[in-house]
Amino acid sequence: MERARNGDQDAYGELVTRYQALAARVAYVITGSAADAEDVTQDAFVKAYYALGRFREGAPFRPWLLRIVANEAKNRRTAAGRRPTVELSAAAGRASGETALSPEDAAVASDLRSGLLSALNGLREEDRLVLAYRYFLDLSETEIADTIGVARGTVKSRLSRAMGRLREVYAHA
Amino acid sequence: MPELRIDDTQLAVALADLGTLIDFPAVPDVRARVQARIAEPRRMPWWGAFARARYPLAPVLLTAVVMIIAVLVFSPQARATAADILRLRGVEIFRGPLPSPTPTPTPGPTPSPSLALGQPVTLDEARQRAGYAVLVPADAALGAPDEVYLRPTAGSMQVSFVYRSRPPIPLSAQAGVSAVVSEFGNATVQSSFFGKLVGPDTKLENVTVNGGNGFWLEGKPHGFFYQERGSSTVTDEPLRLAGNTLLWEQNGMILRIEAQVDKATALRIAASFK
Repeated sequence: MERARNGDQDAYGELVTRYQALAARVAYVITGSAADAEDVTQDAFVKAYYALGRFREGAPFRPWLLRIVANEAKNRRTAAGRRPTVELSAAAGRASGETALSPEDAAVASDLRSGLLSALNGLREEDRLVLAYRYFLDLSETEIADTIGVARGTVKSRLSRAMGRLREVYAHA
Repeated sequence: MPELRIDDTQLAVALADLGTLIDFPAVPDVRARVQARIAEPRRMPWWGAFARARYPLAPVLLTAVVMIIAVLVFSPQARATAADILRLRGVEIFRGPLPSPTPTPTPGPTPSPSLALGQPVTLDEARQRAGYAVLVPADAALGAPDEVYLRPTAGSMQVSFVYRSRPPIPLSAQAGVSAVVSEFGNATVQSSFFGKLVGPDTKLENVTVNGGNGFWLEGKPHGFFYQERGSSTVTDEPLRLAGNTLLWEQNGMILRIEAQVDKATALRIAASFK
């Protein structure tokens, strides 16, 4: 990190390798497009490199980077003007790892998942993203707070409100 | 759809489970492309330089520049003074605050990529590809350069020489080298406008070097950027050394010596350019 801050481009390349998977996932959750996520990831790393001078020494790099990724992704999505959604992979239907379930129970689990996902996709952006960050990308509340630029307490209340809304949308789907 | 009769903890588990099944796209490998892009000289809209955090007081500065221009437009006397200060063709000097660089002396046998001076070449190669007569200082204080770099600019080439360690010239805290000499070819000067951001602790003096107009900058490090004339693009020229700088015009090019030496030594070195 220190070497990258001092303009060592190879050191920065290592940071790219380390964080590009997470950055791409954040970008995908926001844009809902694999191609956009890739462009956003690349652009965000270039921007972050030039912004390293603003990076506070000793601060965690991950949420700082993710904030740049998130901003870049939001700009891209606004430009594209579509509503982003994330989809389940084909593996979800097969309910792998739940072979102990009867076919009926597996079907129920599969229904629950697709219902939950469509409810999630139907939430407003702010709620959808806070849940995606927490549960899909496994970011801590502190990291989410840094990524979206709010206090940690706000993340807590946003998460609990988003959970409430998710139940409502699910029930009325 | 049935009501979701599970508590928040169970809902969290269900969401985390869902997360493992999201159809995330394959991880793109952007490292090579990112590295290629950051290795390029950075181009940005002209106002981008002012919006950068490196120059946090840039808006204030910009206002001051606009006011100075207004004064100049209306006052012939002020115009005459300014012409005296800014008489080096194509060079503009602004006074403004600059952040202090993190000291990281890294002298060593490896080239100095952190200086971002372009592609390492041999002196012969630089002479062939520069498109103008490259001058090399003959002064014994520097001797032959340790590294030579070539970098395409707006309409020409920038040639730079790096002098790693030249006692008694101290190593720059910023780059770990003693001196950097840069030459900006004629075409660049014709089509560009160099801007030098001078910190409040920097002394700026008009000097004559080899019969041409020049500037002696002494004190804190200098930010540097230049603009292509007739275009709205500013090319960022990162800070090189924390040392004093002599900048002058000769043979239709702009030459620059950066080294922590006094003015007399810088002028002596400048006089040895051949």
